[in-house]
Amino acid sequence: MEPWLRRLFALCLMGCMFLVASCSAAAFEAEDLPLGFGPQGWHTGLGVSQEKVTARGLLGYEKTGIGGFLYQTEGQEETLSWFSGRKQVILGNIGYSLELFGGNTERPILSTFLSGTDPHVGAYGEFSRMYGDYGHGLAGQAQFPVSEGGEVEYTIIPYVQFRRQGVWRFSLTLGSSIGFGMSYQEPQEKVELDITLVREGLSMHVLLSLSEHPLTVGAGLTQEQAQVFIRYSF
Amino acid sequence: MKYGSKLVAALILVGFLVLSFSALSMAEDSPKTIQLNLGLPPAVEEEPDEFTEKYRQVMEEISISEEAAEVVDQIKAAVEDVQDLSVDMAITEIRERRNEEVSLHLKASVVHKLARIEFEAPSAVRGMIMVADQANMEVKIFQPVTNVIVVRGLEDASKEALAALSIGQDFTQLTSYLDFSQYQVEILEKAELEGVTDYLLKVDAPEDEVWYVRVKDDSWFPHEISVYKGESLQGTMRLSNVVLNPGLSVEEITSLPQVKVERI
Repeated sequence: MEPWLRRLFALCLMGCMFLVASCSAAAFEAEDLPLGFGPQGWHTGLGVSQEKVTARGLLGYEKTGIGGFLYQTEGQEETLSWFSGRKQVILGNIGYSLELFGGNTERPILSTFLSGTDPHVGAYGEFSRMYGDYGHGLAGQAQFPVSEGGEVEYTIIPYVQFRRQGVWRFSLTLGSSIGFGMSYQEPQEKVELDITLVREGLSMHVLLSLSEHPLTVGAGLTQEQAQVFIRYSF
Repeated sequence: MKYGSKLVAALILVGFLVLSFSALSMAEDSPKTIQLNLGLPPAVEEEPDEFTEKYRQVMEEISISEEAAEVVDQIKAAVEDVQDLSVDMAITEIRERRNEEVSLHLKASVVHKLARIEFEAPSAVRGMIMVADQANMEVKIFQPVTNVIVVRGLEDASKEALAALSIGQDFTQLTSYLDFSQYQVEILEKAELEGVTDYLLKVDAPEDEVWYVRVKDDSWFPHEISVYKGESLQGTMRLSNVVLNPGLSVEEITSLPQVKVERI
């Protein structure tokens, strides 16, 4: 297929997705349209999420939700997608969460999807315990390939965290990849930062929410591949 | 024919209205007769109020020493006109095999209809802050584990939540809770230290409970209450750093960390 024809096709697809999104996504609680630029060129898509929050006793609550993204990249004919269902339970200073996911991109870090992978399903779980201003936790993730020839990947991430003008978290990454990381979440969650150094290289992500506008700006760098994006939430 | 039936119906309606109006006019013109019954209401034999009678009987049966009565009156006077307060509370509940201990700081105001609880222990709730706003019928809870403030309606809050908050919302409950004048009270101990007398009172509370109340004569606000049922200790509540009527502002009670807010 000629390059100009492929671009035209991609643009048409993006336009169709926008139209479909504006009609069908109204069923969800939150939707966003991302526009980004990465190693494969321009990309766009649709993100949807639905969440239900219910109280549990006096000092607890639970969140149950589904969410996901569809992406079309200019340089790839294959559509990238990632969907998950999750449950989070908070009881006092103790938090549990479980997420089941599937897709053909890596699990997002601060809403950044950088590269496509083999189709897979997986699970992510986290236990978190705070003691007022400081605490610790353990997160784990396992990813199973759907197609033949893929490898099972897993990581275990113990961490400590404290609150000081936001939440600071320092973690170790063990399992299929080994390394350590640091993340920061500003109190209002307008600025979020994640840095991880593993054997494969350095990974840095930043997410900035513009409170006056329904826009989120993000950037990610993983193994010398960079991506920037802007999301419009509606 | 179709229009004819409608015309007939309209004429009947107009005729009915004219007749009704004329009847009303005639009624207005006719003299009115007003009958007033100025006689005294029939005499009703007042039945004695059962509750009042029983209360009077119970009160008559209560015989406490003059000193105990004075202590009880002083406690009642101390808590009677409280408009707001700030207090540290340590509550120990005795369970079958283990003790549950909760430490918290309570600030509450009748004027602002606000209550604030800061949990200090156990570690499972340390750092949590709960603000109950009766005017807006909502509770805000700061959750350190997610670093968010969860807002929920008071009407949705559990019975336990409402019970926990009610003492801060309605001081009449606090005053009635600490009003021992309706019970049998006995002074068990009296110790003086640096000019302050510390009393230990034994209060025969309802439902076969016995309360052991410690109170000092410098504030007359109880600083320890132990609850026994039969011979077994049910729990103890210790009150310290009690400040009555400190003039709490709305900001002092409602201030919370500037974090993301989520509504349930």
